[in-house]
Amino acid sequence: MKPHRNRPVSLEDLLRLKRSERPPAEFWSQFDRELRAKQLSALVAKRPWWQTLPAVSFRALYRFRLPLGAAAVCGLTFLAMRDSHLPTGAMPGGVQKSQAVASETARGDLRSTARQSAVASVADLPNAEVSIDLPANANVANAVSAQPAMVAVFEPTVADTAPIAPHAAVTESTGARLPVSFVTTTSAPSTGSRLLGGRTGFESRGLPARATVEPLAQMTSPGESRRARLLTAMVSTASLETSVRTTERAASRIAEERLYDQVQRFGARGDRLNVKF
Amino acid sequence: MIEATKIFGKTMVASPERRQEADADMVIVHQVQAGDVAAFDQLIEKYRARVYGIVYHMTSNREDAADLTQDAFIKAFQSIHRFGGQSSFFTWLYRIAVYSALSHLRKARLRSFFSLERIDADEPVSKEIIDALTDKTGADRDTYVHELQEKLNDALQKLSIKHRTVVTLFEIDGLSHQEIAEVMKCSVGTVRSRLHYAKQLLQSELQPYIRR
Repeated sequence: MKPHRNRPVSLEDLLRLKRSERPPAEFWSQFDRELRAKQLSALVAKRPWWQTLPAVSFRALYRFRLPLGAAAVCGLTFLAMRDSHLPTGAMPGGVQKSQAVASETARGDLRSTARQSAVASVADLPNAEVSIDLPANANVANAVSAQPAMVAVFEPTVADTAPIAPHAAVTESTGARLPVSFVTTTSAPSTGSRLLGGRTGFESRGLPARATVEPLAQMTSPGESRRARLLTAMVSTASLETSVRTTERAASRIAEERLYDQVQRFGARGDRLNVKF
Repeated sequence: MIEATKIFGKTMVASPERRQEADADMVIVHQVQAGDVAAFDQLIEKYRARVYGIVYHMTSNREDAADLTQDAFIKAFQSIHRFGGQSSFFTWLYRIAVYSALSHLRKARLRSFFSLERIDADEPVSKEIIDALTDKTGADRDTYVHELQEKLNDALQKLSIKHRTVVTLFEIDGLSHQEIAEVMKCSVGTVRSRLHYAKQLLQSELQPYIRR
């Protein structure tokens, strides 16, 4: 029997046994050869720019950290001060000014365009009987300046389509109403904005079409108003009935004492309503 | 002279031997940083067996261990200009190697297989332990030792990566709790707790081979 046979073996002994798991001597010569080759290739190989860029940029920024930090602080302070001193109505005023300029420009364009379109349409219609009175254009221009959004819609209509009916007699009154009728028939915001943007260069987004409301359409007949009154009365009665039913149901569920307590908290006197908490 | 080094908010005291070793390493590191590339070979020769040992015990695969050790030395060589001596070179190199091994183990969690080195049964310490475990001789003894080795590696591989690393660094490589904490960037208490838990698991796994 061997002398070590009765020796206790612990976990530490077993783990110490693992220490003797060692590679043979020839392993290290091969290891050194491979390591040398890898080392040389690592020296020769150029690292990609995305690996070197963060380090280089950080080094550069770190070098000028104080001036950069000071410049950033100055810039932020300047921005904060500028914002705090800016008047509240500065932006809307600018917008109003640009709108006024736009409406002036559009007014001038509209005068010339209306003249041209009228002449062109008359020239195309051999049997037309035309009497144009140019002072009417002043009314058109005033109407346009009152509603600058309509200019964008009106312009292409006059220039492109010129929807004047054959054998139409263009009089002073029709000339004055031209903008309104054209707006209602052809409302193309994209075309309008394109033309307006191209000509004046200040407005490029599409303008929403506005629906004109006829005054007669706003009036209701006496029969309709009577019917509406009756309907309102019926609806209010129905809702009252429902609320009464709900109150009865709720009251049947609430205990009497509790209800009494709750009722005592409310007091109505004259035009006052008191609630006790 | 014992010098205190402040790491992770705690003061760690290095032993005189470690301090001496670290100072010698720093001299070589300065040479490499100054442009003497060949001086790095001294560091490779000094630490290659230890670094290979720790990576091998973590992976239980000799080919992977060789590759990872080489990679660790390459990484250390590439970034040695950034090493400022906050910790010893040995700790820094260990950290690189351990993190390379951990990264590899996380990637190859499902396709790990053993490729073991041979146990040197003629070494006095291992011979004594094997003699205590078996009275077999010749080929039977070799078979028994191989079986025991597989069982040991199997039990280690059943541990989680962090527990395995702590056991390897403490029991096999002989690092102190503080050094392990420094390498693994955790507290000494965490190291102790992981070691205790890992030992309990290993004890239950290797129960047939433990004799009281």
